[in-house]
Amino acid sequence: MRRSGGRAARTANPERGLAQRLPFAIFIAVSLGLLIFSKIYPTLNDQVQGALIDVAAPVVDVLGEPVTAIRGFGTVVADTLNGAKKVETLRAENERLRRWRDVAMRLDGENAQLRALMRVSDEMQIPSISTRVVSDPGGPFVRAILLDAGVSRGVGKFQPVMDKAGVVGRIVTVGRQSSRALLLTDLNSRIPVFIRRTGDRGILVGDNSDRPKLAYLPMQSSARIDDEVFTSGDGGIFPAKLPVGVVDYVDGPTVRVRLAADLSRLDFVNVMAYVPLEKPEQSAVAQPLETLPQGSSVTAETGADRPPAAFAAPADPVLPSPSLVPAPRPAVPADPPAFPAVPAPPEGTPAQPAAAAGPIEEENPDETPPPSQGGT
Amino acid sequence: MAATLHRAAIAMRTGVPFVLGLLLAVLSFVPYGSPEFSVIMPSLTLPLVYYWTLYRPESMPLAAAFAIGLWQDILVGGPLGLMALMLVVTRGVIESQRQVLLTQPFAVGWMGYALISAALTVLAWAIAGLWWDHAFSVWPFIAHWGLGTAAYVPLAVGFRQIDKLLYQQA
Repeated sequence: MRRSGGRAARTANPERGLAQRLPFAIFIAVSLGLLIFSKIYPTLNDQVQGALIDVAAPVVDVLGEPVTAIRGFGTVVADTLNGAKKVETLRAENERLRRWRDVAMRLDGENAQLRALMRVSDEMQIPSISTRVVSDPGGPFVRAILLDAGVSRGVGKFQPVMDKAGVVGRIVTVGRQSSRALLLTDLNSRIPVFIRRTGDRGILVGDNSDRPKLAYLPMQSSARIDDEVFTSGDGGIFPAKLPVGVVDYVDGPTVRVRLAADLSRLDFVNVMAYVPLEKPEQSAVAQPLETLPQGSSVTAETGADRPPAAFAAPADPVLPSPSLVPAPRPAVPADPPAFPAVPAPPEGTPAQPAAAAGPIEEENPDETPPPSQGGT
Repeated sequence: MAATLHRAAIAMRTGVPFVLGLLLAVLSFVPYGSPEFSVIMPSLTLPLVYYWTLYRPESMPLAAAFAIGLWQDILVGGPLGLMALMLVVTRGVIESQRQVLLTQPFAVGWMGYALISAALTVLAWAIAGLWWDHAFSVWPFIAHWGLGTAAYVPLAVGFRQIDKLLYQQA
């Protein structure tokens, strides 16, 4: 074994050099070991992170208060400056929504009658809790947010997270007091969806862009801009018919969706007490969700296990919750008794999108609805 | 009494940069109300480890750099060890080059930061791609690096003020 003279000359004191480099090598090895560990044992990684986010979330929450206050002040200033215009916009929107309320009430009545005729399983109310968002993704790797609610409030893994307009993501890590939700835009996000107009089913695939891709659509899919996209409930991971967004880009097989949820204003979100059908971690979500005064809840049709009746919120007798989605339905005549006899679908089968019966003739909410027939 | 004060001053010199690192890591995750910005949010801990390793290495031991990185990994919710690795590499590389960098003007130190943060961004991009088995778009990483390089100057000015305060107490 011969040693080169140059190497000996470079290191005047090899022992000292080794002593300096050993801690560096150890920390590099530990970091790489952690990386490999978290790759090989993702479940264990989740559990470790679940235990640690209870430490992280309160710190982020406290330090975020000044930023939140500044943002709130900025919003107030902007609203004040644009007050007159905003009032005008809200008046017009209020007028439009009043007309839609009449339509919704009529359709709700029809829907109940038809469901009774077809013996379709009742829609269920999935209770949900409202919780604060305490962190942003904060970097180019992961699109996830920290929430101020954990197992102690009944939050469990895989539960859907929504804002007032649509699905935001799902819970991926749960701590005692906090949890982490993976946004639909994250590259690990996959949820089954369908296009309401055509009934085409596909998978919404996050790719870290702000507009997730709609993949695995049928070859002959005729998706087009502004088509509404909802969860399909396939696989039982998510409840069916939750609003997801609208088709925003179509170029051959590439279809992208603009989310209904406003990811730039995620101050509060709702976590739904939905128990996924296929996941073994159901025990983690068996606890009841804390019921909030606002009583925010969404209605969804699902074949999943129902939460205990004590936690099932009563249906809103007048208006559906903002998250309630008009179900895909076949075109029906105005007079319910004239509805033709149709064989009842199997119990628990999600409502079929309207593709089988042709394009849905339901009104586009952005357009003026027809005059109400049964409204006040 | 004097010995106690001296010991407190020594503890502050190590403790303040470390706590500052933990706080800066959190600031990257505070909801700023802009998803676009949160994606390209620059790393605030990398300038901290770079600065203190360059000018006061005794205030930024390897264990502190590792712990700050691990804390950031916990906040991200991705793979544990990624940011810890980045900060430990920064600590090791800058320590080996500090004699050269210390004799240069601030602008050269800034360029040094730009270079090492570029190398680390590429490394993080590659490791994240392997870990997630996904080719990440490079543009958020380029923006992330650019913003981080721009943020180094005001951060370094702030660190300099803290540095003066800590070392005036001796």
